Amino acid sequence: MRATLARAAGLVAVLTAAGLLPWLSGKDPALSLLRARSAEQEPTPEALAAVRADLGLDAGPLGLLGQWAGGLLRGDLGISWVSGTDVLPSVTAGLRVSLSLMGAALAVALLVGASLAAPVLVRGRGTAGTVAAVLAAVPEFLLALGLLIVAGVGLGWFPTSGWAGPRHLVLPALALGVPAGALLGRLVADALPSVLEERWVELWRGAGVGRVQVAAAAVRRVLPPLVPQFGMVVVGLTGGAVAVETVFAIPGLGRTALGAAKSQDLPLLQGTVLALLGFGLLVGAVCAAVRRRLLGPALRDAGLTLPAARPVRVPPAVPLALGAVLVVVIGWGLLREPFAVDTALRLSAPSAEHPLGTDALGRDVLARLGHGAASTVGTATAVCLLGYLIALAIGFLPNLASGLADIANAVPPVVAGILVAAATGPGTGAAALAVALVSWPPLASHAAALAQEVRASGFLMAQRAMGAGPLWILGRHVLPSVAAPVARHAVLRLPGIALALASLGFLGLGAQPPSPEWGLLLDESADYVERAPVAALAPSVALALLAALAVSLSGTPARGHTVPPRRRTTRATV
Amino acid sequence: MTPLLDVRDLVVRYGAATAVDGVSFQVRAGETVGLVGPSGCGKSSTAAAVLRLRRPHAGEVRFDGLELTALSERRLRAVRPRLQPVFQDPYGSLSPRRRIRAQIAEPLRVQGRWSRPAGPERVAELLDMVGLDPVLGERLPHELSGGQCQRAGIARALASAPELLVLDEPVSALDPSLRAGVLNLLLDLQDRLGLGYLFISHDMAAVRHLSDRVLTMRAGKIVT
Amino acid sequence: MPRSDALLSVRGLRVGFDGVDVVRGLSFDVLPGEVLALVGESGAGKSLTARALLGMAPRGATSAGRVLLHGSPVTPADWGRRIALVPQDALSALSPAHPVGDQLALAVRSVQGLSRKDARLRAREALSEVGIPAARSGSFPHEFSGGMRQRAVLAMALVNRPDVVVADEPTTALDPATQDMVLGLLRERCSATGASLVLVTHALDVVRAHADRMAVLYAGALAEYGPVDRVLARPLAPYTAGLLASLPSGPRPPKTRLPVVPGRPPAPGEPAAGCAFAPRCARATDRCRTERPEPRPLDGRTVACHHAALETT
Repeated sequence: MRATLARAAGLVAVLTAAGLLPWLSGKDPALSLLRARSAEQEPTPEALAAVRADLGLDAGPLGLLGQWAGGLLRGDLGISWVSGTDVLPSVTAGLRVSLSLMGAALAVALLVGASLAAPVLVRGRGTAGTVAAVLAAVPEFLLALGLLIVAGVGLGWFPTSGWAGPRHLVLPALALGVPAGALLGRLVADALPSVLEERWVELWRGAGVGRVQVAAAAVRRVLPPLVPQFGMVVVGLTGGAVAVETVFAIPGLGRTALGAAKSQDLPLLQGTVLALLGFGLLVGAVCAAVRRRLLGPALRDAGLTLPAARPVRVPPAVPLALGAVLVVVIGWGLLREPFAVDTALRLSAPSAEHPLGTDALGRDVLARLGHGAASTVGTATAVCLLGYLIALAIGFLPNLASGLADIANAVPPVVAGILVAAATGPGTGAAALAVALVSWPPLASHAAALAQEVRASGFLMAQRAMGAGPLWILGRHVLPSVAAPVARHAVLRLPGIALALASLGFLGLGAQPPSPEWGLLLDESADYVERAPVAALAPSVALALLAALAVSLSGTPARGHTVPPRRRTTRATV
Repeated sequence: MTPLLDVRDLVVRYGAATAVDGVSFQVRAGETVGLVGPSGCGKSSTAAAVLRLRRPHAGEVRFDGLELTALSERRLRAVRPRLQPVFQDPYGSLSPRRRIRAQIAEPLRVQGRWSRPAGPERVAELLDMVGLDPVLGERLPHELSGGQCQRAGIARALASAPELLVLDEPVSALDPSLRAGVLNLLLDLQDRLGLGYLFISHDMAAVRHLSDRVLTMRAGKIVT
Repeated sequence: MPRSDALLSVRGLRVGFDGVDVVRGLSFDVLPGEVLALVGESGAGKSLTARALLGMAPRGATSAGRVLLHGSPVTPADWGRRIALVPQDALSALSPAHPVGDQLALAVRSVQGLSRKDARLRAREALSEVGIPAARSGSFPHEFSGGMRQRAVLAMALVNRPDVVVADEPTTALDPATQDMVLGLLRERCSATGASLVLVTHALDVVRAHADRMAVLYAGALAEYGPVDRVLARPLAPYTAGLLASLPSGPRPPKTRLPVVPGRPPAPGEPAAGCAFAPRCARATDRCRTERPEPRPLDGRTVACHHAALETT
């Protein structure tokens, strides 16, 4: 009930923000509109005022919101500022394309997920493995670009752009579906071993139920609690779709939204964002229905919670080695000059002077990677710290935390990035704000869980009984038990946040040229991949290393328990 | 003579369910009152209400003549040291992150009675009193056995210099061969310090052995 | 010592982890229709032994020795049909995602190969045998009270009419009255079908009330093994004697100090040589510290102690 309220409040908040976009952005579109509408007309103050009155921009924030909401109720999404056509047909056309793409991606995801989870089910232990972990961490834009270059341009197997038939669907669906599928597979595969160690498995086996039936029952047991997370993966597809549609030039909703944000076509942006959010909400509702169907009357019970997944130990050498490679590259690059343009040396191959070659303007790629990392990682660190502080502040108010987290979870970073960029204009700050807005919920829920665990413990009751005040208990016991594990968790999320920032940069929603931000580098490099492959691939490899680092770090237990393992009798399992 | 603890018509509710339904009893100084009954009969809720870890819905809890249910949390803090709990789970009742010595010292610090060298001396004395080797003071709870942890929990309770201990299943989680030692310790401490005990357990034999009087609870009421 | 009438016989059972044996060479028999209690403290190897009886070993465990049921080794094909397990903490032992009746019916179908309909009928029958109305068989475990869940677990273990039921501390979390009720029901159902019951517990009063014979385990080895009335009336192994003496029950003036077994139970692998109980034993001699006592027959039971003897007083 509370979750429903929180979602409703979240929807109202996001809709309000969308409706207020023209006012929030503080920009005056009158001039650009005037130019777009008729090139001859002089931009006299009268003409501009006429445009403003025509658009209703002079009505103030509440008036704007009222107009937009009123139109919404009549099924009128307004008129595009740029093309002057109705927004609704563009949105429905984009939605149709995006839905087919996401449908195909979902099919890919289910296949990938099932094939990753199956071996774990058969063995009864282990994990989906490193490959799954890396696939789940690779951002869609990187995979899309990789597929485009290798299978599209290099091998020529599939068309690389446009939307004209099933063959056009293959590469985008793979780019969008594989990471989602790896994530789905991991969710199931991580949950299975601990479910297979639950008591009932012993009872069932001991009562004669066969191995196959137990495995089937374990899947049945695992799925309902995961359905909401599946829903989030599907909602995440909307974010991924923006990048994939952009890379493959597919006229879908995501690309439309991105274009509208970049050209300040706010009515079109409002319409597309509305459609994206509506899709997300629909998915959430479908998931809730599926879960109810699966669980039946067990809905309100333990059937909802899964036993804690066992952390998968990754040898510390792996993240250390990856980190070392990145540090060396970045350090080396930092010593070099990233902005020196030398048109004589455009797209040169690696040499002693330019170890990774040069880009289209003759700038040193290694230097740009190094300097770009400094800004990407620096921004990511700031975002991480902000998320950590929010998590600590909100973690002690678990109800608020879960409500807000629900909203933040439902918005993929890219959609947040589009909204923020539309309001403030694209830039490093906008990207950082967007990622910060959606990256704190996992930290906050971790903090809330830990705080709850500590507060419920016997030793805290002893504290109250000895006469300790609330500040003593908070400062000496609750905070120390929460702060350190959540800080570790926050550090582990750093590479993931850097990737999210890079994806916004790639889409042009973050840092702007000539900044050497990694996502931007990747975007630029795509243009000259055939002429200077090493220089072009360097940013991709760096991002892939970052993704691998994120994965290997997350293998070390992030959801640390506050309580160290006790001496216990050995529990036997089948 | 005023009884040390005087509970009258105590009512504790969890939402719509009534866990304790009009319970009255007294514990005099130096006396052990046993409270037995099946799971869910309201024993532990009674303990929590007596310790004011949960505010009772109705009734009175008088400690040494002082009515606790009406006190504000702040005024209560001055009284709390005089009645101390010992919990069932020996590990869960200690912080997993701090050394035993620091945890036994904590009541002294909380209550503003910590000083050097008297503080550390008092902790050493308490360790000795509950039969723990001083070396164990430097350990973390998970490095100790259940019996040793329970002794540390008792030492921490004693650090507040209480007059009443509320013992909620203090030996149920211990291995059988360790129970007798902790029960003996409780008897010794009572002799030495004149403590009153409210001893809650479903182990009839242990309750009979330790108690001067035994009360039986069923469905939130005292039946004998 | 091997008995020809044994239904289940265990010889030289060892179970360990990483080269350290937790169960260190156990031999005992389960007779047809009897209730045998396996008694011991935490770390004594009770749960590992219970699972070893079914041939279930935890991950990473190594085991040696023989467990013969009807003269042949136990395999997973015997589970449910010949030997069944009631796990610890029966309150969480049912799948939360499946109706109780379905769980039983699945066990019936797996073992007896009945049709879906017949299996469902048998499941309802098994539930009503433990006092759960057949109409409730479609309910999920969380819709049951604690006592009903407990009984449903018993019904599931018994649904295929096994010859031996192994119950691993099935009632530890319960208060004495409920414990008694559940164990009474378990015993009654076993005797109704003629099944033997191996009852793992750490509570001597449970043993006294419900078992015919008992095997006292200390540090993974047998300390004393024989009829309950004999062992409890006159324990011969120092560990059993110490444990019994330290109980607050029995004729003893209130508030007297109880005799204590000094020290604490050993951790796995701790007693490197000799008798595992020697460090806590008042009668320990050099021989106890170097030479491990073999179980030997004495006064109608089996005792593993160099010093145990029938003192004539």
